[in-house]
Amino acid sequence: MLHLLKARLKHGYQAIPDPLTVGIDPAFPGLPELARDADLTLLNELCPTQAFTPQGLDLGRCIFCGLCSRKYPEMITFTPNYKMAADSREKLIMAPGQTALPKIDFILPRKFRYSFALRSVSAAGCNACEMELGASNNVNFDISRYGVETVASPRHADGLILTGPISRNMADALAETWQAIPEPKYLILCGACALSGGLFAESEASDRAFLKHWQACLYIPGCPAHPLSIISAIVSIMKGS
Amino acid sequence: MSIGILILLIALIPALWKRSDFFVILWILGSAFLAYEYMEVLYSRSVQDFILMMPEPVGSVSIALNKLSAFFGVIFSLGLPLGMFYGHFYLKEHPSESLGSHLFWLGVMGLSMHCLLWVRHSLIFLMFWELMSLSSFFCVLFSKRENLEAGLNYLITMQLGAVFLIAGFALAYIQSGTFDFSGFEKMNSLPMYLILIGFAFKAGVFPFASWLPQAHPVAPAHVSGIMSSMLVKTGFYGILLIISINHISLLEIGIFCLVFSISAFWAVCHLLNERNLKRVLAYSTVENVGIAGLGVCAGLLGLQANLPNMAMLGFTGAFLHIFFHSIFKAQLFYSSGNILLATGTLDIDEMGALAKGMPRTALMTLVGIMAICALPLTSGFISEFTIFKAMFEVPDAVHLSQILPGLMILGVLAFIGALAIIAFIRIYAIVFLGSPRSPAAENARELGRGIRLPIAVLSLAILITGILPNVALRFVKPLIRWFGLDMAYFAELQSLMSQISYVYLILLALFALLYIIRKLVVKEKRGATWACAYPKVRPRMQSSSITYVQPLAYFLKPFMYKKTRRLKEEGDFTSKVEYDEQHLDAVWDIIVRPLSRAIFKFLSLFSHIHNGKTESYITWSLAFLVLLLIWVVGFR
Amino acid sequence: MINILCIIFFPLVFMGLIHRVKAIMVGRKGKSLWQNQRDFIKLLQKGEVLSVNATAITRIAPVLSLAATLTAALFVPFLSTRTLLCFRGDFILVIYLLTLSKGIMALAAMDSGSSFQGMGTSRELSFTAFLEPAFFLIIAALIISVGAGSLSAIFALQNLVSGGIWNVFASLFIAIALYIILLVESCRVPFDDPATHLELTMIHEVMVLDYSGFSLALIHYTGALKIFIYASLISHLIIPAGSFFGWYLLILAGVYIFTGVLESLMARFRMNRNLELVLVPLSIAMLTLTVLLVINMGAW
Repeated sequence: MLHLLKARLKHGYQAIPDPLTVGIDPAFPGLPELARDADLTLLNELCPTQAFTPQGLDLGRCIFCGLCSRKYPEMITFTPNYKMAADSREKLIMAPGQTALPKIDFILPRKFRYSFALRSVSAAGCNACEMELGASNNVNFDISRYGVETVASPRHADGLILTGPISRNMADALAETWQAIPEPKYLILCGACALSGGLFAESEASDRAFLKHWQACLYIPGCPAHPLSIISAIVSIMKGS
Repeated sequence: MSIGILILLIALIPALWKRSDFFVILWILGSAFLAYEYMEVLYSRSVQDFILMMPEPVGSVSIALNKLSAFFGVIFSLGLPLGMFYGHFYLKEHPSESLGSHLFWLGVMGLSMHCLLWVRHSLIFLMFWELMSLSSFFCVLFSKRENLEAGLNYLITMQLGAVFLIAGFALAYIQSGTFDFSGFEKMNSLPMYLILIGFAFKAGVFPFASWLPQAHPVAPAHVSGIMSSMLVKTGFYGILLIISINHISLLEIGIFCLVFSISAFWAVCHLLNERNLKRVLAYSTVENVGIAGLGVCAGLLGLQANLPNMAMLGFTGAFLHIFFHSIFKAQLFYSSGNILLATGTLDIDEMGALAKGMPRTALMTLVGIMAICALPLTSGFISEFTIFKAMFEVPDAVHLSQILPGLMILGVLAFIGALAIIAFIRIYAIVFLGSPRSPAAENARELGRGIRLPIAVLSLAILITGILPNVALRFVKPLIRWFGLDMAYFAELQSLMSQISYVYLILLALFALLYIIRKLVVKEKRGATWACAYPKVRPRMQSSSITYVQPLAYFLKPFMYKKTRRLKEEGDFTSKVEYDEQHLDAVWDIIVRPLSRAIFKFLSLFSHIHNGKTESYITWSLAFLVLLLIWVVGFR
Repeated sequence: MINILCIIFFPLVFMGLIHRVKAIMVGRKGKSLWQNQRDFIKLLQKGEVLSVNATAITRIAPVLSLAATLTAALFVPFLSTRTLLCFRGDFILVIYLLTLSKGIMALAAMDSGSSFQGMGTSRELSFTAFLEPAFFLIIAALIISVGAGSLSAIFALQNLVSGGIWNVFASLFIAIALYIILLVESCRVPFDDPATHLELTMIHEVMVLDYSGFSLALIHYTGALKIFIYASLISHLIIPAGSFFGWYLLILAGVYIFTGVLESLMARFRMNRNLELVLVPLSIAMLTLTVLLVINMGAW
């Protein structure tokens, strides 16, 4: 036991004081900014997930690989802005010249202002988003300081946070988990795979019918979504940005 | 004589003509009269007696009721008609050729139970005792061949007990010169022990209680209920009779404590493993008799240690427990009868979710289960509370030798109580809750109103005596006064009980408040049970009766006697194994059975004597005569 | 009265103390002190989902459990010697009310027919099988030492400073036994891990796996109240009744802080080891009883 205490003293206080305003390494691929004259078709040919729509870059499909910004740095750069969430799929499209995402209008009811329980479902992804979700609960990022916790049983949860592209095998399990959550409940999609299928969008093994029935209230892009993105997104729907 | 007993005698007539409705009506009438007489004796007159002159050697038989008999008499006269009433409806579902004789023997059994309480003459008492054993044997049998083994086991065990009783009464007669019970004061210890052992056979005290778990499952539900709640109490009545007359020394109190503790503990350990619903209830009867016996021990300890408070509390607790146990045990047995009729099985691993099909029976059984676990709001708690309170008076004693048995009883009682709670929660949960484990359970439906009525009446009685315990205390009061125990403390106990009633009022008010708030605020929805979204959830995935006990089995393994056999293995890489696990009864299967087998083996050595040939029989007789001659002549 | 205020407000706040301690021990920012209160208020406003197998017991159990625990709490002294309800021998009623609350929750846990809940119920009930005799023997030991009749009187008179050296020994050991009972009843490390999210390793949490919304709020509150009752009894063993309220709060907080530290430094023990450890309060009770008997008696 003494060695545990010694280790603790050596670690010191590792929590980030304020995850909502902390700076991040400038190399971090956060919110992309398109130049006004960016050639979207050219960029789309490069893109592994064809994330460039005629309106702009769809953050829901972007896997932040950086191929486009390395080839055409004058057309697109990834800024280290980790606040990338939106409350509808359309708002995730970054038009050329846009420097920030529109504000999140959706706010959870008042009762969830200080306490929000999430049930995480991992629907056949690569597990990177799950690891980042787990990291947001760790000593550094610590989302529990805002009253958000991950619970074991969907009956105890207020919302379901989905990661992964939803395969055929996971479709029923996901639907059952969603049915088991009591009202009022909210669906949060985290990561490119959850938002659009990501790299697995055209796979025959995927079954995204669940998302046609149920509307999510929060979309967090990223591949994987950074813990700071997750934290700022969830806190902004709890308390309002 | 008593009008009630006359009416009960007359009730035997419609019984023989298979008119169970008249039988029940006459029983209710007769019991009402008897109850009135018993209450009168209990509350006003001290004794009601007359002397019957019989030819020698029987002599003068005194027919009298004292308060102890009257107390038990009230229990009998309230419980027996309910049992007959339930039996009437139960037997309608189980039509049988021998209905007439079954009803006849039921009537005789009830009658002999009542008559036992009136006589104070050893021989006549024995006569009614034997009549009771015999008639209950026939009731258990119910003309079914498969009941024969258990029934005979019961009969022979009872006869064994009767042997002890006869020996004890005979010695008492020799020592005191009279058959009357008043002569028992002059007994010394040997006849007292013999008589106590004889009564212990009937009361279901370790190690004489193995007949209970064998006879109860096979008997029809009303017979099991009557036997467990009242027949067993006649044994306890006998024990109390001896205790009220004789002085018990500290050593004997210690032995009683030990015997009753072992009895209750042994019963609970067996209780935890059983799958047959009625066997569980039978073992529970043994356990509850043990608890009542511990209450009596506490009372005796109090008398011995000169702690009037403890004595009063101990005896009150014991009497209350006897009274309440007959109520909730009968209720549980009748519920098990309902379950048997609804599902066709008594194996709890075939049941599940019966509360969906039989909601009212489930609710009433819940009350019974709460009572047997001694949870608050029910009468079981009141009697256990009194006995526990008696134990807590023990630190006032002066000598260590008086405190130690009291503390030992305290620990044992608490432990047994906790184990009983686990056992009965297991029973209720596996039978009534969850999802159905077999088609029989799924199709179980509520039975008629008539067959539910006795259970409802008993449940109401449990709740009333549980929430307003002073009702029961007033009933026990004359008996306590007769025993010579301290009445001032009894008044204190009564005020304590009314305080408990106020606490219950607060509890129920809080419950009602919170429940109403919940009803107004919560919007409910139904969904599948959360099983981690596993797609193929089957009812057999629920806890079964064995898995529930598994953590406890870590400790209690030495006390849980299991015989397991692997029956079949096929091939080198075993693909199919059949596995059989049986739970044995400690006394019966481990001591008695092997002993009897050894005796048979020994006797079979002489089997060649029985060869059927007349010539060898003549040879044996000749050899015997020669030996006799040598013995008689040679020793001159 | 102060008692009612204590019962209503303190339990959840002190639970927050455990979380703060665990957070400090680990080095994270952690949940705030009021987080349990906030969770409670949020849960009260949520709807519920009931299993298709569930009967009325599922609705009744959390309410009855809370009502029973509240009624039991009315007997427990929270520093003042006068409790709302009190009579000779009330400790029997208190422990049976707590047993009622646990028993009815165990029944309701089996109601949904989930295999997890049966497993959790059997484990939890097996642990508490050994605690009842321990508690009764503890009370018997205290009665021998103090001679009073009711729960509040016993705990008012017995404490570290009231008697001789043996009294210190008795109080301390009984406090340890009560603390172990606290750990088992409220399902904290090393008997059960309240933070584990794996159903197969839960014991108490798995019993409430199927509960949601209002009922879940009541269940959390009942758990917090139970810890508070035991912690209050322990504090009474350490300081005399009638002393400054601040000392009482300090010792109470100390119990919770110690629990938090214990949880941070230990893991949950293996199930078999737990079953063995559950005998410890019983052995402590018997040891203390023997010592007190020998001291107070002397003659056989």
